Amino acid sequence: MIKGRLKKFLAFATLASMVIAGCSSPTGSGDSNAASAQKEPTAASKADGNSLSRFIPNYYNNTEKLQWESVIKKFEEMNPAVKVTLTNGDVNTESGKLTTMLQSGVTPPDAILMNAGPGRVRILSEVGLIKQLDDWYTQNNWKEKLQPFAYQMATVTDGIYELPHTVDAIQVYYNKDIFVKYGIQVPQTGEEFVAAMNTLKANGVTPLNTGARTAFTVGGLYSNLLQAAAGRDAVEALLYGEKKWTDPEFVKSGEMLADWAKQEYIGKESMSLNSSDLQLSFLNKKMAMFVSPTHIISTIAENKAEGNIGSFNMPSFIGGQKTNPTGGLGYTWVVPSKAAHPELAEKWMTFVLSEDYANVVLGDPSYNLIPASKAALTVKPAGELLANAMKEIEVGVGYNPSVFIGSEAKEAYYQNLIGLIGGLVKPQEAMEAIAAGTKKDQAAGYQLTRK
Amino acid sequence: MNSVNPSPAQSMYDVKPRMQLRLWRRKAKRLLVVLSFLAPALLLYGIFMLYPMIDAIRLSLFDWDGASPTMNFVGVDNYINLLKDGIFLQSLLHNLVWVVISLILVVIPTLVLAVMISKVRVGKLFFRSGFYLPSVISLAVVGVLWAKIYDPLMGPVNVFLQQIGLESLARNWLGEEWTVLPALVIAGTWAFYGFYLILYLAGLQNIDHSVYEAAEIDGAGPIRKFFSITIPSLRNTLNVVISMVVIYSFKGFALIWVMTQGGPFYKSEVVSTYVYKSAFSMNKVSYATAGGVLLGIIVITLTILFNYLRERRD
Repeated sequence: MIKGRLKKFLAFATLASMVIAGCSSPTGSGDSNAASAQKEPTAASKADGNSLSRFIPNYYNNTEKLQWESVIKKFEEMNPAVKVTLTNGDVNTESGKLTTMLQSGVTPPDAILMNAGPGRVRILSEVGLIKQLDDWYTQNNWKEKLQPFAYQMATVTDGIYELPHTVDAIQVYYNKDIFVKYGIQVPQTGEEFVAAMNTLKANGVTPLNTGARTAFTVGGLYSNLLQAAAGRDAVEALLYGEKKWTDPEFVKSGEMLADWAKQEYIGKESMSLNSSDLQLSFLNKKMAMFVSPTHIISTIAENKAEGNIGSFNMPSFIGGQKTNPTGGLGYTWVVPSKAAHPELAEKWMTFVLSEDYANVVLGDPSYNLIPASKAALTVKPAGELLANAMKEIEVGVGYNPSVFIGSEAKEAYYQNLIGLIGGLVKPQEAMEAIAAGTKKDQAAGYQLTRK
Repeated sequence: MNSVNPSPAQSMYDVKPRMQLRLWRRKAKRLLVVLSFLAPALLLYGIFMLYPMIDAIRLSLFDWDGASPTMNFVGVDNYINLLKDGIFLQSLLHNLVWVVISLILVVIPTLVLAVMISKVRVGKLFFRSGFYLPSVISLAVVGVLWAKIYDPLMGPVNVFLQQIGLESLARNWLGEEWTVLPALVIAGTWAFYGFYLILYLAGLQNIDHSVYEAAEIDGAGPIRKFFSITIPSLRNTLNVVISMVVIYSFKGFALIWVMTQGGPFYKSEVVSTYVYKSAFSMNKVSYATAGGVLLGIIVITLTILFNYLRERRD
């Protein structure tokens, strides 16, 4: 009898626990709205009050891992009571993983280093997944500690939700020995650039490649081309909604991209490469040039190829105009609304704007990112390629549209650029599709405003 | 008076409701027993399957971004917009192409392979395990593996074609309009080949061997036996395999996401990848949910159809 009751009890307890577990699953919490997102940390999480958890991009190589270790060591030296933990993952909003992780509400990190730009950050901010940081900017004087360009880029929409970590500088990297072998000088004009690609092609060398399987590499290449073909001011006007993607100068840039692919200046294999394939292909000299942000520097250092790689800005196709590296913001810090230790995240973010931080990272010759802080401008980078990129952006930074456009436009942007390279869409149609995406974003309330 | 000594007729009338009550009680008791056995499964099914499905239908009638506290009721607008959305329709078409190629690559070749393995006298276990092996690998790993196999420069497919003098056939498999979808289906088929093979092998074991012997006595050759005995005897297994191939073809996501993310230029976009992008890259959760509901309706309809056909034949 007792045995029978015990069985019944156990069966009921198992069932009840399963039901309770099911109802309290992340998707069943129903606790994802903006209001509830602002809740105070729980008692349990407060008990673990000296641990700062951060979510950062996947390392491209071991060099990047070592760089982060040295930064953490410095922070922990300065804040002995705080223990820093790191988790790597996909920090693109485009892939949806970051959004999914935050929407799940399960133990979000205290700070996330994500791919920057109002277009990306908005995906998280508009649904209350990340904290508004205006107060922290005031309390910590972050505005004065950031480079003006970085501050401007972080404040193009209402409310500040990010602290820029790095400024991107997308340039053309090239294999010096290939240029020397075929008597090519660093091109100074658009025409010289095309002539260089012609020479390389004629000698059986792929001039450029990009990676359709990692869309941002295509976006990087096109951002250089767009600026070279249409000019920085036109791109700026486009992003602020004062021009349209279907205007002649932008259609022309699409035609140029399609033509470069048709002429095989951009290798056919681009359609099925990803960013890792691209970096290896470039360093193995399977292509002469690679349009990339400074991220590649650590891979160059790891392959001990610093002596053979140079960089330059893609020259303008508009007579007499000078070009800048394109970019905008590279990585940026955001704080999940449900972070357990926002106060530690604030401390960390203040640290990354400090001279101590700049000294640690820029003192490393393999370091591959340009800090967004003013303090970084006072430190001379140990690496030559990074020093060159930093020198170039001191003059000015061009725009990488993928950082600034809204989610609808971005999806159309990436797919249509890939379509142009693959000969799958006509330039006019591609620009119309991006314009249609922009229109949808504007209808949903997304528009950059000049301040 | 009557209540103390009821007449025989009256007592007959009183007995009937009592019997009915007893009968009803017995039925209720039986139902209770049945329900108590079914309850755990029903409860879990209700919470984890039915509730999300019904909630998805509800969500699809709103305009919601996935997290904001307010939702605007838009009726069937999301469905109307989906049917006007060129990319969604293209994705649906890709799903249908996927189904057709999968059926061609799976149903008959796997059956032939299963028959061949069943005929092997030595090393049957080796072949069974060998062919089943890809099924235990995670789809993410399968995706990475096949992306390398299709690599236009170093991939073994193109290298092999070049080595045998067929470089003109070498393609940018994942980068070209007409090759990307078949290339993905082949990778997906490879991953599930073993699973379908096991289903067929199980079906083959159930065929009475004496039927084959009788056919042999009547002079039937291997091909005749295959078409006249094997295939009719495997009718139910074939139905299961076909329905699973169709359902998986509509549900496929992981492999495409790892290998192409729907590119290049939407050429491998299927409903599941488009729905995922809409929900998590563009915050259009309700719109994506409507897409998911449509996909669900298609899959459920096909499942019911296959089951109906199987039962009708039975």
